[in-house]
Amino acid sequence: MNALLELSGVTKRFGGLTALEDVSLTVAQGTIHAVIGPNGSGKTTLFNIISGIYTPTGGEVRFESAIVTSKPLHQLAAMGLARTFQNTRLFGSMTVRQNVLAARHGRAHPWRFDQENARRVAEIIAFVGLADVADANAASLPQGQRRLLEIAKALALEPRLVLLDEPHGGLNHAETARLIEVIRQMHARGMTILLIEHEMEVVMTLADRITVLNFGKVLAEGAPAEIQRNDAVIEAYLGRADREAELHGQVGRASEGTGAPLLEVSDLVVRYGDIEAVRQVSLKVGVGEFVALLGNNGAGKSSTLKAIARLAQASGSVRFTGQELIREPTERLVGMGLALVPERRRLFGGLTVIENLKIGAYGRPHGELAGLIDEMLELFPNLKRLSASLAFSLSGGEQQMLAIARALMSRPRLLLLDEPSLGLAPLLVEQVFGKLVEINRQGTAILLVEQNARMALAVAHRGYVLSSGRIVADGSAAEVARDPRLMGAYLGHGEAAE
Amino acid sequence: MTADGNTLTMRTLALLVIGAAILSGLLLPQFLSVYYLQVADVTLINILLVLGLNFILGFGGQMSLAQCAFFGIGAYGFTLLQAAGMPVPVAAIGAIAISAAVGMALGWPTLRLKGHYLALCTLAFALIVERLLVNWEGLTNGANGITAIPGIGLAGENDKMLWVLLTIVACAYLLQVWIANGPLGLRIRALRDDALAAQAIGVDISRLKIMLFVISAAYGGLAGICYVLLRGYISPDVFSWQSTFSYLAMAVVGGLGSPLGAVLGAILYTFVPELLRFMQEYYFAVFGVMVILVITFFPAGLSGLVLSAFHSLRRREKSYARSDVTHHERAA
Amino acid sequence: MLQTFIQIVLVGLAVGAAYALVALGYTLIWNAVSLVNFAQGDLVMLGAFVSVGWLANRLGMPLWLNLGAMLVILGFFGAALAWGVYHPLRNAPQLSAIVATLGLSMALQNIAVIIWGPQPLNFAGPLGTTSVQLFGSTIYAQYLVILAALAVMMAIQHALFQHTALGRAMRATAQDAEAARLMGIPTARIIAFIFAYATMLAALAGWLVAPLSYVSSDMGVNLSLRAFAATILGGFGSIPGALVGGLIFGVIESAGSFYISSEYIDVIAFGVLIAVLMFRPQGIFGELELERP
Repeated sequence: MNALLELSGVTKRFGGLTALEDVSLTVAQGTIHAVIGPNGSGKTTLFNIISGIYTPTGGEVRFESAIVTSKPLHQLAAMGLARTFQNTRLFGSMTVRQNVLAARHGRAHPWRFDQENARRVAEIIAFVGLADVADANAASLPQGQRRLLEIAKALALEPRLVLLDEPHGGLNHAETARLIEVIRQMHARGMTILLIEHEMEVVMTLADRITVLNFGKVLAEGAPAEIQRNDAVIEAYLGRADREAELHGQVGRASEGTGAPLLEVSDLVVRYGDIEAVRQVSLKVGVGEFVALLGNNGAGKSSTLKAIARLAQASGSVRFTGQELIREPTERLVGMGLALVPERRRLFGGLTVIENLKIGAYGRPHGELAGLIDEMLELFPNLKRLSASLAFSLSGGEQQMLAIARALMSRPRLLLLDEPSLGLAPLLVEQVFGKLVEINRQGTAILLVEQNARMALAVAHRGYVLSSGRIVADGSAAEVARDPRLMGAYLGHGEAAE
Repeated sequence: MTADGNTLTMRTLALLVIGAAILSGLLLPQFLSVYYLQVADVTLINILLVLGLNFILGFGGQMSLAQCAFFGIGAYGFTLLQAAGMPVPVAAIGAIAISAAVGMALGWPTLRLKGHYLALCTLAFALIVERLLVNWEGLTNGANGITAIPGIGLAGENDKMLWVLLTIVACAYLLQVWIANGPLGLRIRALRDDALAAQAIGVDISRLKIMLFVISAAYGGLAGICYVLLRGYISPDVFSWQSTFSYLAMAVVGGLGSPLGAVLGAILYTFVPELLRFMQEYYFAVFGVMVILVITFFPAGLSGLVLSAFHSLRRREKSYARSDVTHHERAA
Repeated sequence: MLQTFIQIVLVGLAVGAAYALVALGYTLIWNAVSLVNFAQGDLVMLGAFVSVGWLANRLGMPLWLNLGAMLVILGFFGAALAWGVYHPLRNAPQLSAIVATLGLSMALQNIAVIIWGPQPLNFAGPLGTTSVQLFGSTIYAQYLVILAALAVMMAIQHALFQHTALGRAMRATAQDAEAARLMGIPTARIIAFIFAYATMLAALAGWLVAPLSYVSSDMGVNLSLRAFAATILGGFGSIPGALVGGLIFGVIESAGSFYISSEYIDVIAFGVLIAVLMFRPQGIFGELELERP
């Protein structure tokens, strides 16, 4: 086996945060190698190190046996290593043809492009299937074609190794199929491909070999079929709930089900530009219910919550206590009884714990403040001694507790949470979830978006599973936990590549 | 664009530019008084300055406010080299070389600076150059300036200088277009559109940024030389640091990064107000508001408007004419 | 010797106080919306013109009384700027925002000439050229007024930011506008208020320095540059940095002008600035932008 790319013991620290630890990886020439892992596992950091954007804290990177650890991106490009970006980075003021032509600048005479270059550019454009729009402005392309152009730019470098950073983001079925075909053709022409991807179907179809990262370390490596069956991998994605039974027993009684539900989402569609992140999603949360919204990274869970919290433009219907929310500005929601604990907490780091709590009660009458704060400190006792500390100095678990307390200060009827377990150790996750159960028993309805499916289902009444922007399964928590479509949403179904 | 297509369109453009220059040279002296001919000459010099600004600011997207400094360095360099006994062509080349060298010296340490930091650094540089021109009396004769500079003996002859300037500006214009369409031009545009993506296709952006500073400085130095040839005397107040904002305004309203925009912007800022002397403050107040409106709603500027109208008549793409430089970044 | 030194420091501090007020405006707007307002100095000019040109000369309000009226007028103007200039550009690249504020600066200068004429205005103010003796040296009383005003302003600001709900909302909006909206804070209005407040700080500086010399339409550009340099010196984005940076820059100018050279003072001061930009761009109190995962 000829190793085209070799990582040995790569470690990357950002201040106190260790993004990658002792990662070793070998990409064999002529293979399609995929790197997967849950949110925050370090995949993007890994790509950035390989492509010279970051310098590792430790370890070595070799490309075609030459050490390239600290070489900057533009030198690697000249050496035959090309990469694409997750958010397509096109040259918006130029046409499609010029975008590809620009990448050939290194192969042109100093003052002009010759026929040879022009011919090759036309070839590459035809290869990815953009011949029809060759002279259109790059900024005007729809998402599917943007992704193809992103690849065309990389191909113009005549690379031997291509790093594809989530090339399938936001594509529909037809576009995905086309992209898979392009990647296959690239492989057939002898290029080696290293791929980060969330779309499990794509990974399982294309990859010869898969490396799984979790918390910055290599968790497993092998052929796709092996990875799909690997227990450690499944646990990394779906989570685990040792105390499943115990937590189950704590869940309060489900709502009686009479009267209108508290939150009713119908045919929600969320678009970013022309990427459809959420496709006709409908769900309900009843008074006092605890509902989990699950799915892999990129499935549209966060976007759904953001749409409900009016942080993202959406169409469809979102009714809360009978009122239509879809056109309301975000700042009105708290007054209506809806509070969101955002992804990554988003505390006001420069304000103290008490001040963060006070802000949470911004709209409430001044007289209530003291009483509310006391209540929160009762509910979250470990915040008491931190009252005067600045929020950014708290640990991850403490920050999560503070974020929840801050949201509760407005006395919401429905609490939305966006991946509260992100970045927390399992023990802390249990603590947070235990608190959520407590809050739910006191009457607050909860809609929880989580990647840690098992833990979420251990505490919720009901669950929905999202995949590629659509609901693929729903039912009571127990039903969903047993549903094979749950696993499929995270790790793909059926056949892996041969 | 195939090489053939490029040359053909370049040829047409060259004919157009040269034709326009010849026409202007023939017609303007018929219709303009001596005073307004000088205004026209100064306008041409400003076109040159803004063309220079196009490289670093329009193409490269780097906020440089030092253009007036290179203007001054070119002018004083040319003057002092003549005073040292060099013949005019040598002094001219020397002055441009000095400007370019200073451009490199400024560009290199500021590689890491972005946005408002770069703006302030270049502005501070412009201020320092102006103060040196005023106070280093041993070298520059201070605020009194230097008079009776020989040049090519056309000082004050506005009509003959018109031809000289038209020739120089036409060449500078065509040079900019030519650069913009070759590999270098695409590299520059790539840098401006997305620096990281530019690196991903192998562009050494540090080297490129310095090159842009150098070219901009060279154009600025050339403008300084032209000024000396026109006037025959110089003084520091022509190269005040505040004047750099004028060139910026011309560039923006004309259309950042557009050679045609440099022409339109300079004409609008330098020539037209002279026709409207009685309401100059109103004119410039409106100009300031235009800067805001253009950069917010129509970054392609006036030249963008003109060219859109032209395109919808001709319905053919002209890559060098596109000038929407500040496209808004949105998440994909 | 010592008398001279004290005098120089006091004058430097007073001038620096004006810089500090403008620098605070830069910092507050930057923290709130990541915009550098190059027209901040011209707002000083506007404040000076409105109080001297209109309220004092036309309406006959004495300088002391017209402060309140002028601040209100300029406050509304600031809010109008938030709506008319910042809001359309809130998603635009940095270059566009810088250019827009430079256009604003040009427009304001010319509008000032249109309204108040091309001649600079002179206003002695109630203190006129009264001098006082302090620590054995003689300085204009107006300098002391400036320093006192800065101190009072800082006390008011501290109380506002730290002890009121509005102040908390402003700080929260500056740190994370989206999260602030989730709390129910009307961020658009808060941002308009921040602009209004920053404008009032600049206008106050104008009111304070008006009696010291002429009020002219181009006095703002110079101030913008120096206050900007002071902000970077203190650390862009840091409120104590703006304060300290302004005062230090004023003292550097004053001391450098006397002890080293008054002709080359700008070369020295801005040479120092360029050095700071090269070697320690985060200034005294600012934070380095680190690599982010």
